[in-house]
Amino acid sequence: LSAARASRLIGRPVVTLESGDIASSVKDVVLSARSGRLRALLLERGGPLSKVERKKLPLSAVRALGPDAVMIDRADVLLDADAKASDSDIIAIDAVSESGGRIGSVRDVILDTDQGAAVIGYEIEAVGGGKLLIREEDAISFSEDALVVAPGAEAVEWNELGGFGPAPPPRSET
Amino acid sequence: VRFADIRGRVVVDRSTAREVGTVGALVVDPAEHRITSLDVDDGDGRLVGWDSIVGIGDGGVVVTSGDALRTPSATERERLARGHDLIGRRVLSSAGEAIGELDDIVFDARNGVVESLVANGSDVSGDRLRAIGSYAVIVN
Repeated sequence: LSAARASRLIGRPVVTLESGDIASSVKDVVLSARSGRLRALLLERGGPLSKVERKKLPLSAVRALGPDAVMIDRADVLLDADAKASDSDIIAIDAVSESGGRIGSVRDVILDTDQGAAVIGYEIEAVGGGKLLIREEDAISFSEDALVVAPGAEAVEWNELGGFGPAPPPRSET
Repeated sequence: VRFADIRGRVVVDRSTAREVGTVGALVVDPAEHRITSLDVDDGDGRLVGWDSIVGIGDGGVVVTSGDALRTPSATERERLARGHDLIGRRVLSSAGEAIGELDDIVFDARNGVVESLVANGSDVSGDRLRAIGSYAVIVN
């Protein structure tokens, strides 16, 4: 198992295997609610002195989600993206049980970087404080509004997991 | 031979024993993991192909003649740009993991074949070389 926080992918360079050049860097992640997998990465390149270029990288074109870089074959696998850079941001949405009770808010998504970037679970900042992990199989659905959790789902205490590395500082809204 | 040992050394014309320049950058063909030519700091941006090199040692590089220096082809120019200031560049595995910074390149003086890349003090076999880019050296 090679687990990684989705939020840790943000800012990571996207590098071409064929030429060793930097193609862009990760701005956001797109999760598939249906398959429980990472679907694509939204990329952004450029800055104050140049035009911002937004691209989309489908997971099928990702050769490796490495700890230091996301590897692709060539820069031409990147697709043009809409100007809007976030249709999937589930960070900070509410996690609610099927019966309507509020469990907490989603802080991060834990991915298995080996197994096709499958979602392992959702890190929740619990209502009463503390961190919980809702496993992917206990998540019924999610949208940009809420994560709905199956009844009787056993939220794993964060400490039991040994964690997936420290949580990064909260992202600043841009 | 280590690149660090020849960088900046004199390039000498075998027929006249005159210095024609000093060793600048390497032109590397990543697919063949081989150094195909040496960039010579001669003020004219010329280079010398491996087949015109008579010897490489701590005394410098001896070339067949001053005429062996030629202007780089388009491919060589591109590779030269990528190989410029190569030492210190980050080395990335194809799995997206940083191995370290490139300390040195060890090659066979006879044919220019890259024997190993030295990154963070450890050797990476030259046949793992995949690409030399502006951002990183990629190894399999």
